[in-house]
Amino acid sequence: SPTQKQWYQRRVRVNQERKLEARRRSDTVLVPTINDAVIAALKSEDSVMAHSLAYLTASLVPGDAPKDLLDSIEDIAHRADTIGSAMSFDGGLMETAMFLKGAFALSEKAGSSALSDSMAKKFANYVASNKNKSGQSNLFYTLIGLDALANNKLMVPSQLLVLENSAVLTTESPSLKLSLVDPLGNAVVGSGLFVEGGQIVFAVGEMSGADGVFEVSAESLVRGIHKVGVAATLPASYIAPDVTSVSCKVVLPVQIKDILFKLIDVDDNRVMTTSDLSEGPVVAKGDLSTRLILDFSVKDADGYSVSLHQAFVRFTNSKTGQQVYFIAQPDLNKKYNIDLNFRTAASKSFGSLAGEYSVDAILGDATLPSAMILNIATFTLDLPESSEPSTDLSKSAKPEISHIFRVPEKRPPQAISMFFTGLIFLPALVLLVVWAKLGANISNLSLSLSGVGFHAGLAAIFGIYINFFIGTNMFTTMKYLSGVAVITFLAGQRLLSSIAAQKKAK
Amino acid sequence: KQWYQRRVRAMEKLLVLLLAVTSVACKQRTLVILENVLTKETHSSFLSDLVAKDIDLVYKYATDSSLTIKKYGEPLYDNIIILAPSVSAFGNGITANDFLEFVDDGGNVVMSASTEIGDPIKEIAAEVGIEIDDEGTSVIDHMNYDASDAGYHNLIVAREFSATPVIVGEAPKPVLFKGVGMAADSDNPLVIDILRASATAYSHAVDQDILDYPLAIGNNLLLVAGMQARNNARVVIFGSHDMLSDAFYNAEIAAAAAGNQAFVGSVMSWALKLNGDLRFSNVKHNKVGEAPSDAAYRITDEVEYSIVIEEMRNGNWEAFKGSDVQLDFVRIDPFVRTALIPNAQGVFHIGFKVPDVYGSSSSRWTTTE
Repeated sequence: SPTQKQWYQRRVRVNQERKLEARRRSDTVLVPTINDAVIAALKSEDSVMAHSLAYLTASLVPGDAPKDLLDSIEDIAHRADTIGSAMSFDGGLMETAMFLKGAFALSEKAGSSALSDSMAKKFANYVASNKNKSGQSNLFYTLIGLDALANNKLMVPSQLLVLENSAVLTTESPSLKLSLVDPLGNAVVGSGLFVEGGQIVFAVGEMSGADGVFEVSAESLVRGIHKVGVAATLPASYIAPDVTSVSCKVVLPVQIKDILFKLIDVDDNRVMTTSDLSEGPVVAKGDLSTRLILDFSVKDADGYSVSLHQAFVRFTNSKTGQQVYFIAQPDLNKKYNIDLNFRTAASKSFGSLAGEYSVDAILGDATLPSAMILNIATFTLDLPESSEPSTDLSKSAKPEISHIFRVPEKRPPQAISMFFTGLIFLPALVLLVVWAKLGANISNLSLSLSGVGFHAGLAAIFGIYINFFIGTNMFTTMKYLSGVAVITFLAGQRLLSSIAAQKKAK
Repeated sequence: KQWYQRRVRAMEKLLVLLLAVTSVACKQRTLVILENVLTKETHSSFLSDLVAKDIDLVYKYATDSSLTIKKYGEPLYDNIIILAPSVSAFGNGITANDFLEFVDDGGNVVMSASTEIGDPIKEIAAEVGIEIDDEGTSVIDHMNYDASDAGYHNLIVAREFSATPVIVGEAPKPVLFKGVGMAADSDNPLVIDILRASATAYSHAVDQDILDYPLAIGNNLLLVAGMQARNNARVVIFGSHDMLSDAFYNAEIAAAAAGNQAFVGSVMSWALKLNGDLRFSNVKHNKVGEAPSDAAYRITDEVEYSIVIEEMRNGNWEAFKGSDVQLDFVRIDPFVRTALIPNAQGVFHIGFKVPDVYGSSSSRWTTTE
């Protein structure tokens, strides 16, 4: 019979087996339970986020991915809006990134992707466009989305990048450096690039390089902007980039040559100045009857004439800084020419503003390393009636106006005025003297009430008249006059009747 | 006592409610017209900077059929920002004239343009005196292009700001620009050249030879143009829709950060009247030694005039520090024009003698800032 120890060991083993069996049973029960629960939950909430989380959950659960969920990936993807080459959900970056994470996790588990190549590329474009947005949430979800796209084993969108600004080819740096990268920016190992024909800069063939970084040197540097077609070979799980050609620019310097500057007097029909600028910029004068002719050509290092996008001749007024531009047109031999007749140009282009102008040629083109400004001449323009440049009144304080009051008229000196005032009063004196001579007297003045009253009343009436003359109006005058007039009338009548009675008594 | 406490609490609640209502009502309402869904994402910093300035933003798409500016004869917004350069027609029958009516009513308008510019934006700009170049043209500068431009030199670095710190900010840094150029009549006193192109720049289609004189060359070519109407409404046009984008805000020029964000922020403060707006109050005039009265003045009276002028600086009203404030005493034409002298509190005053011309006159003050 077994010992106590052996009996114990057997019991423990049996117990362990029983527990393991129970767990195994519950494992297999658990998995369908989770998937069922997830599918059931999706029936009540149909949002994109809910589906994304369902995919993530199903990808973590051991066993096969449920077919319903896998099929729904494409349906949900169609809910996204396509704008240009980017595809996104209404909920923005978070919703799109979580969908990509969930969809790729579940697809990897199932072994085949439910999204199409173009969808993956458009989603990648959208997520990558959020690189520049600030905020930790944006950064997090951008990385979630890019990581889902870059680190899955089914379909990784790839992109063609130009490295180190090498699309600008010069004699010093004639190589084009390209790279094939995944959405996270890592170079695609095991890829290749092939330069196609149809262009004149590079030789047709494989680009040299490895591990996703490639380089090719230009065979012939031909000035201009060229489109170079490239074909990419990528490992199985990668999607070829949308872009199949690279635009590169060959930049070569030029020189301005064969300059001819001529000033012709139109009226006299003679050449005033002619110069090829070998002794530096020209100093010249002109007026309304002048015709200015400027010829030049632009030549590259091999001596061939080149036509440029920008070939301007600029006149800058040294006093006002005003700039007048003229376009130099090339003829069939690519020789540039400016022909200015100042009889018309002075008013039309220069605003009839005379003065000293600095004449410069400005040459620029996309295929030049930088624009060139060459000083051609210092030209003084004389005009008969040149208007002063009008000052812009709106920008400075307006001139002050102080009112000039009317100056009082000149009066004669006071002595003369007093003398004439005296002369005016002379007839009054004459009047008094003549009265005295006539024998007018006041001996018969009676000091009775009526006599005093009458004379006082008369004086008062005169006083009221003078007052009216000085300043009061008719109303106050009539007010006083009415009272005084009655008294004076009564007093006067009494006085006259008393004088008449006295005369009768004599 | 309980009843009293309840009354006080009710009054407090009412006060808080009133304060909340007035503070919400004081926010400026701004309509942002977007071209499509992507604009909100590509220009998120521009929009969040506006929200940080305490402005209420309302978003609508350009072709939205519910787009309205005016209702019952009153404008619905204080400002309109149009970030839809290539729209060919606005929704709900809105035309350029509706935006001009909005400006006439005192509203401010900010627009962005680009190489693919549509007709409505061009029309609005033309009506305010700014001509935008044709569709398909760009501003090209073979001397000041950004180092990352490997093509036609239309991604340029602009440094020629106007000398108005109230609009462009103090010492603005160079900005990146890629878009279409504008020109304005140099005699127009209302147009402000906020950002000019350099002397070697010109506006043309990149892949076509120049046969005709371009719209403008050199310093006459405007990259950002502004206009202040006589009713003080402000219009600003950015020639580059991209210069407002997050990509350009985060870009670098010669290993230093591009000045786009600071420059655009400063211009928007001016455009939305958060900076550089003037108001006056407390106009007082009286005979020297007497109290102000409504009676008429006699000729040769000595009169003193005082006025309080304030300037809006970054959202706050402060005393105006101008030096060219002038007073005109006008009867059809000005008879007296003197400078107004500020005192320490920002009150401007002057004394003058009434001229011996009879009739009714008005006084008006101007400044050249």
